Amino acid sequence: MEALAQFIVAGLKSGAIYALLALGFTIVYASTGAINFAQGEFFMLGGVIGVWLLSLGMPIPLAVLGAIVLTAAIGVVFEILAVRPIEGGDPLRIIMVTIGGSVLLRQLALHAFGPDELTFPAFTRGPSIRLLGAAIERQTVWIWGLTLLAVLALAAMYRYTGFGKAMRATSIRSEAARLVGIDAAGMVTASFGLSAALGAMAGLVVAPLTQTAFNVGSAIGLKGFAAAILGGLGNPVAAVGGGLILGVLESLTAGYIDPLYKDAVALVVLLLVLFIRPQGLFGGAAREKV
Amino acid sequence: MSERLLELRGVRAGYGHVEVLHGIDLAVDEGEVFAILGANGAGKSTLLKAIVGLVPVSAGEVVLRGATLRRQKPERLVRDGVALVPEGRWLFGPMTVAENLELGAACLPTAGKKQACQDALARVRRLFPVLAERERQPAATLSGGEQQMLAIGRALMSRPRLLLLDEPSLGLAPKVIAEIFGVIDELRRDGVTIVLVEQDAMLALKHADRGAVMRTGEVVLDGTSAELLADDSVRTIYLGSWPGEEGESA
Repeated sequence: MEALAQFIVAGLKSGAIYALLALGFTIVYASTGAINFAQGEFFMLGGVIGVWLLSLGMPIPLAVLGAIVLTAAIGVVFEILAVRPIEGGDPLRIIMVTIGGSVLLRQLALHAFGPDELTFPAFTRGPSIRLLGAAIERQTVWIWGLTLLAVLALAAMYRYTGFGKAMRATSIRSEAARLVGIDAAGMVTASFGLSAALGAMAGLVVAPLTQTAFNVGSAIGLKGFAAAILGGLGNPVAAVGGGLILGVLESLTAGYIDPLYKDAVALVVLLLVLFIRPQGLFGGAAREKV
Repeated sequence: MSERLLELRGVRAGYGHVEVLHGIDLAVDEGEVFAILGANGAGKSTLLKAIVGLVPVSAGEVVLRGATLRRQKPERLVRDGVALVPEGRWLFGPMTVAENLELGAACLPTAGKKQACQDALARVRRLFPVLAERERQPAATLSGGEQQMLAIGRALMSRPRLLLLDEPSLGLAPKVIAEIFGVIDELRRDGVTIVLVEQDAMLALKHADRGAVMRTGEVVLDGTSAELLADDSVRTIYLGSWPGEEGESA
């Protein structure tokens, strides 16, 4: 029983990280109809930029905030330079550009921050917290807290702000949004900035537990993608659900079967969902092929 | 003599390499209702889309209040007071009626936006009382007639000087059509200029001051509603004829 609780805690920890990445995939998918395969690199950038800002003498909260803002800015610039010029916004070409972008960002990070693993200190020090027989690291509480905060802030933005409503309108029908005066191209840019910020946040909040480096992006990006597919692309709530379920599945596999199979879970889930239920667990409508 | 609001000079436009409009000349005066008639595929909807820039203009000029538009974009044109209600309505289906209307005011300038938005909303509620009752409902759950009212209402939220209406009567019951055309008359009295694309030529000319007849991407006839109604060729070919009777669909 105690072991199960511990596995679930561990699963919900990585699951929250996957949820943040899946949210990033969902936001860009909603605005462009494309998968942003550079999403994992935003995760990486958050961590390495955070470590760099710390090395400049910034306190942890400022380094975290600074890394999120800088990564969001990189996402915005990436969209303006590489995605916006694509004629007609063809999703397939956007996907190709994001694959190229991910290689570019990884190499730039290698040259800027070096090949070594980098360490980000825990946000707050102290012993683990005991809950129902499971030990919960303090950083895990940060992961859950910040993920919850991000999800609530995002939901409130979509529901109550003019900007959020304009983003929703653009994703429902971009031409109609333009007719009422919404800058639809600007909304696509904003979606890249927003998903970059979420990716960076995930990369920062997990960095104290896992370390970070220029090459951590692609593996975690795949997990986030699997989570988004599992939940059903295009729906923020489903993305979060998909992330948490994937995290717990991985953790249970590692605990009860073999830790070696842990990373295969995401791929198996990805394939099974695409074969059996391509609209995702919580998705209603059929989705475009990617 | 009222002022010229919109003028098209030799406008050519189309999709990709397929040209749909082959040099359109039209002039719409301030405050009038101008009907564009023609069979399916004549290029009526493309004409409205070309005016706002949803379809690129490859040659010719679109002139709004004396100023030639260059590479016009719909998001900018709506700020200049030109609103299009497209065929098919293009509502934000999962969003509520209130949210759709609120988004219609997205283009209003920030200064004095709240008051302008309230005024526009009051007018929409007065013109379409049923929308006020449905405010919390998702737009997709409305009936066809209510959706058309919402589409027009959303366009009115931007407080347009020029309203482009594409087939407002399509697929609606006679009672609803009468209600919508009643609103068109009322908007005209308010001084809103309206360009109306309509397949039902009789209905359109009854409410329009002037009009033009299009055939395969060209204007073949224009004049006052009375002139068009009196023209034998218009009467026999377009008015009250069954779709397809004229035997051309592009």
